[in-house]
Amino acid sequence: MSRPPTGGRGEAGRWLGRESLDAGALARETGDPGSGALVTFAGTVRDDRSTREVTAITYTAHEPLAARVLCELESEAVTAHGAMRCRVRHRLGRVPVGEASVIVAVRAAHRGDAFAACRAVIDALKERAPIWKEEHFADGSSGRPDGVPLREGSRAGDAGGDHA
Amino acid sequence: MTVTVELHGRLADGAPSRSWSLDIPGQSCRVEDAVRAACAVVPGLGGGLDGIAFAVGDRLVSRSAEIVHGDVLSLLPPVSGG
Repeated sequence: MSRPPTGGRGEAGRWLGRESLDAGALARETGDPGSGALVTFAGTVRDDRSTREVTAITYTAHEPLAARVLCELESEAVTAHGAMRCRVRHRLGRVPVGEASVIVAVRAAHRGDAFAACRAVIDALKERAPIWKEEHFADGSSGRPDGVPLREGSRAGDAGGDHA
Repeated sequence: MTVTVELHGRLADGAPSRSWSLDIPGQSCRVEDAVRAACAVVPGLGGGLDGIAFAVGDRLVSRSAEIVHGDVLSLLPPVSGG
């Protein structure tokens, strides 16, 4: 499992970065001869075609806290969801439609645990990672979708965090 | 004491700066007191604090947590990663 970051911004690079994501590289990092299943999830930027055409999304983060959360999620995949190994990486900066914004790679002995752990990790990431998106539209405008409040009792060293 | 206030996500949009130093009387204060002081400096900030969480360094903290000189207080709006 990954060693938790100690808060330095340089360490966040293991979980966050501006370059295109490489699912194969993350899968290789999780390699384990005892695993019989590899599940890889990629969240990709899409034009949801609701009202305005989305051309890209820009992601920003509180990087030290986000790195800590993603590290925790990797550990939880193993300790709580039956995975053998897990890697998570989220892209920051401007991501065009069609490109991946997040990759989760999970190895487990069997496919049931691999699928379940992968699902649990991405679901938790959406609620716990301090990462924000700004959608860019074809008409040149941009906007921010509604988000999920970080909850009291979330991990990442939470000392009883609550909301304003 | 002096702390650094950081705005993230939508809170940073339109703010004069994403990060600034805030001088507060005394040796320490609660997060909510620092936030109140920050709102006095940044017009409009107070109206956008629904659902906001707080972090000092890389840890989430409650509004009643104590902060001291040199701390970096981050205001975190509802998240939308993944």
